[in-house]
Amino acid sequence: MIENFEPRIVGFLCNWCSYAGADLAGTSRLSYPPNIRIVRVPCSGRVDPLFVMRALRDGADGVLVLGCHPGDCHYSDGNYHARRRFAIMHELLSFVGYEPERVRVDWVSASEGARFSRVVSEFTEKVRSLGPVRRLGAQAATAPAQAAALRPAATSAGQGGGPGQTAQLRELAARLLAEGQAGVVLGWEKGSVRERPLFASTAEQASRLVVPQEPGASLNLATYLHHLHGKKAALVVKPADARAVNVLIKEGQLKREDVVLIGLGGEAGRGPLPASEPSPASEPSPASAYDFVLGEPPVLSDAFVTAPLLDEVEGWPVAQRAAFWDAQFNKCERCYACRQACPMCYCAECLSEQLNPAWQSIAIEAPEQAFFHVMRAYHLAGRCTGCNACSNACPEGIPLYLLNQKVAREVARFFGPDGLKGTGYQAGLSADVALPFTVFTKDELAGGHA
Amino acid sequence: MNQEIISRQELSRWLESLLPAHTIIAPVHREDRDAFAIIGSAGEVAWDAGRTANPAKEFFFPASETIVRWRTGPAGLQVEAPLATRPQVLFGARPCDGMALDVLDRLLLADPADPYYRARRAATTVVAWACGGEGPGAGPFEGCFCETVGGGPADRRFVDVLLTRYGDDYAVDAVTEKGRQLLSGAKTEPRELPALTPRDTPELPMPPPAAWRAQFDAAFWTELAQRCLGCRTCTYDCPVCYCFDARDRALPDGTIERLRCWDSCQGMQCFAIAGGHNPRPTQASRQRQRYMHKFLYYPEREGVALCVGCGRCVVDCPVNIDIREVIAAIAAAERVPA
Repeated sequence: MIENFEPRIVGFLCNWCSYAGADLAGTSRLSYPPNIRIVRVPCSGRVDPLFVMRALRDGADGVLVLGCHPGDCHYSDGNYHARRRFAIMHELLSFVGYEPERVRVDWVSASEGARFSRVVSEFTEKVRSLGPVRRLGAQAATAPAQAAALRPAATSAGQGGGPGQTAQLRELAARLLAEGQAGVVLGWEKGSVRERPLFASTAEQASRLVVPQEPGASLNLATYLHHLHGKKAALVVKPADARAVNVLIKEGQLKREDVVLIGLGGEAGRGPLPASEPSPASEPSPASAYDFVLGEPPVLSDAFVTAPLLDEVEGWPVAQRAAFWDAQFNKCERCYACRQACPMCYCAECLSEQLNPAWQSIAIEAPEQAFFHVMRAYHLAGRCTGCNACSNACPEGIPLYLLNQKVAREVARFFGPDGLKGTGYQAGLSADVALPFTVFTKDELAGGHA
Repeated sequence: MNQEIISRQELSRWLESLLPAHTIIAPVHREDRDAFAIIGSAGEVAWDAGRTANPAKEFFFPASETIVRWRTGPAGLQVEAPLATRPQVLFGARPCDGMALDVLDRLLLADPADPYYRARRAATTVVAWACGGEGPGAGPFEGCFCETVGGGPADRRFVDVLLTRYGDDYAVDAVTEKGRQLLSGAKTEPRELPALTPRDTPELPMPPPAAWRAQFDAAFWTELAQRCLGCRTCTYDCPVCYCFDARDRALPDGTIERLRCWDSCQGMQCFAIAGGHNPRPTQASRQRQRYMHKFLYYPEREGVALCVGCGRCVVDCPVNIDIREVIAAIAAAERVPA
């Protein structure tokens, strides 16, 4: 530990309870460490995890978020939302190499001056014992060797559809176009160095469609749905892609009747990763997910299974995780292929490029890359369906899917299949299920998190 | 053909002897790809490397660079504009990497010259490996087409030393005085070598600038851009794309620095101006800009294409937008009478 280290702590305090609690501590002459710099916010629900990430990146050694006790929110439920968000963000920060104790979310009411003083003192001492914050991405580290492959292998029997499925697809596409059921069929064609997306709107183009040879290594065509300007599209989808469409429908980005889903069945419809976890029993019938299926109907929940590397990285000590991610973020050039390939990244202006406020510098250097990827993974919480398009699009081969899988795992640990209290949430199994960050249960995540 | 030959062992020893006084950039194996990197010992050189995944431009025009920094202290305002002056050797570049420097020189060294680029450029000696020759990594590589833009696999015009591989030996061609001086510490011996058979590459003729201009309003760009994701891979991978953005940032210690960082014409906000107007609002207009800049505007202004045919964008584009197909499409359109 560095001698005479005085931690810098940023505190986000809700105006109605915790800030008043801090005030009370002051007027009651209770002492607390001067290390905390307080930012008054209207509600703990106003504290975007982005603020925390930004504080840590810019050198805060610890971040304290304090709000009204659950049930006492001035705006009735802001702190319930904050509690959910930080439950996930906390796990994510730990996964990328921040000591989890550096961020604490707690509740202090306006009458709890003594409690405020105690929480700040405890937290300051805890952070003091951890030492100065490590700037994520700042070291050009060599990645610790890992046993599992960096890039997930495509499905063992990763051979896509044979000529039979391809013929079936071409015939179907031609029919959809001829009958006016779709203005364009989005699928794949053979390219000069790899299979590539094809926008087939004529019979000639439809005759070039192919079923991808390695569906697990392909992109997710749902990402193009945002650019079609009202043209009704038929989409060739893997299970994870169909689930992504469900999330987009739930988010109001499109209507189910605006899109025709052609499911890849059989081997071609397998998820992007080899299964290492059993699929849950509750599978929606494929009929509701697809309009047409080529071959044997695929199973929707097959789409999101975790890679062995996730378990391995999770099992490492925090410093090793940090070194691993430093090395990965050092490879990133901020080309944004991951974001552009992602059907869930449809913001008109990404926070990474926003000018006012400018959350990020334009620097192409690892700490900025780290900031971007962590925030992107957080924004995909309860939304990512594991299609792997981000990793497949990344020219540097960064295993971005690990961040998404980690978040999905924590979402499944904290939230139930209906998005409420429980366990086992999976994004996009249907277009009717609530998104976890839009709902809450009062008696969940008791005692705050961390 | 009688030529000076240097063994790999001797090359290695020579590189090692240069290390104390030079920054040496060479191809290394990195995970599943080869990449240019600054090496710490000659043992890191990947002798059988193919085309590197990254171009060498980051060692002349870094992705992120502080061009000036200032702070106020007890001594008043202190301003610093650091220029790189340490001698560097770009080893194992390909002729197209050398040509890329010539293409960039025309713009960045023309008056007013870019001082940061000029400093690094002046401090660098380029020791290239010819494509062709015998042994792994000889090329040509997937997607490359240097002949189309006026280069060639053994083009010696833009390098200081050209090495041609014969198994574990290399034929040495010291092209410039700078190259000869750098080589002065290396032992070479004359040997009779067979002439290499020229490689057989598919022909891809370059349409003249007028043919590009004629296609400015073609529907082709919209079709091409449909599948473009709008990422920046092609431009960051490109050895000659030079767009940048500059912005100031404040550091925690009170220093302000002005950063210059790569930008990309494929990004949505690249052309956005004050007031929110974006003169290139669609991906089609941005795709068109990329190719028009390379094959119409730059040739008209600088006399050469803004492309060296390395093929990096071809292999790295996640949706396989292939610059060769664009060139072929414009050529085909030219043949069709209007």
